[in-house]
Amino acid sequence: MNCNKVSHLLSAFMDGELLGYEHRQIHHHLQQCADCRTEYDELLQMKRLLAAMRLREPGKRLAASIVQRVAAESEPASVGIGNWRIPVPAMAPRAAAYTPFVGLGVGLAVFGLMVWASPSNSTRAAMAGQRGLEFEPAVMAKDEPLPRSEPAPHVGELTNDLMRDAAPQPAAFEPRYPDNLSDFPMSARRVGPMRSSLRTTALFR
Amino acid sequence: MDITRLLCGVQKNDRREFDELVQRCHRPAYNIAFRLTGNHADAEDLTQESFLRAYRFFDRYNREMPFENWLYRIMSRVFIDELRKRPKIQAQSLNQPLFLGDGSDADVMLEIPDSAFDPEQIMLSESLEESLQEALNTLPNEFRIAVILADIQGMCYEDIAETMNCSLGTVRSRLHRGRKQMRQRLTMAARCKAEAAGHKHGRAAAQMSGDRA
Repeated sequence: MNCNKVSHLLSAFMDGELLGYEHRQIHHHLQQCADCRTEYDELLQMKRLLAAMRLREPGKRLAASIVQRVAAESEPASVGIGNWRIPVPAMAPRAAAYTPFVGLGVGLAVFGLMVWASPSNSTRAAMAGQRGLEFEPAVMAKDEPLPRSEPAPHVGELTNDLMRDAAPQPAAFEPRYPDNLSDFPMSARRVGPMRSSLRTTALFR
Repeated sequence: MDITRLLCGVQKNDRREFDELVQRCHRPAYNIAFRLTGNHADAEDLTQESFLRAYRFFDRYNREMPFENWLYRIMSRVFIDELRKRPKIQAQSLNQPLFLGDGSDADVMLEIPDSAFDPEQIMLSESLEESLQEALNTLPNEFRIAVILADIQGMCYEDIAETMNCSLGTVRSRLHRGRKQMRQRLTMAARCKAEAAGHKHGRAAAQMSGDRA
């Protein structure tokens, strides 16, 4: 074994991390080579100096402040928008770090689902008209009477086809695209989706 | 059983176990952090941040591995991350004058004790310890971590490899090169200080002879 290879293994030899053949080879080489022995002594001295460095003591409050920070980390979080606060209980340590995001995500998903599931009558009518289908409001609103021009005839005398003919056809939905939005008053810009969102908000009250 | 209550129970057990680990390990952890950073304030910050990160990922901790090894692995990563972010924990040149903290500006000679001494009996002088710490600060991060874990913490190569997430061969190489660089820098610092002392002595001698003349 040459000096270059021995030099790379000297630290491991010194730490007792070489076994068997390599250990014996280094030991044998050191008995014969003065240069490698000098290098070994220097490394040993370095190791002893580092081992003799005194143990540094932390401040008295260190453990307490770590425990305090850990406790703060695992405190129950709360999420919400505006005045709405939803308390989220603390879960596993790692989950606690993500609860605000999870809570917010769930909240947004529920909100979106409610908006999607309960469109206003006017929105539904517009959608139905667009598809060329009949529309009947699910819930009768006071300010929206059933659109019939004549009193209903006797039910037994009419077939389903006649009923369809008797009912006025809803106007086809034609969206208006103003050239300049500022020409329209603010009230005119409020269309279906705005009404439905207001209704959804009212459910929480 | 209610899932929230169950999770809260798990959390309470984790908290209790973790608090015990903090009490048991914060002193050696601080010592390692001090040797990595080289000063008290950064060492406390590093210790706190390491424990906090350990707590966040406590569910990933494999109980078969000693907690200290796992903590030191986290600490090494936090240390390297923080070092990248902050130029505050920078390597200090050994050529700078040694700060003794007692207001004196005297040059301090580096006295390395005889290696034949029993390591238990070596009492390092304040100045030698400062020089060792400065030499440690100049080492590249990977070498510094390996040297501290092996020679200050007394860990075996297998544990260091597990902590540093590298092979045994890499540990062997980093340790060897780290120790050699430490030795070179201490020798260089001692030489610089000896030269500085020689200049000072020469100036003082010349001044004295001038006064006599």
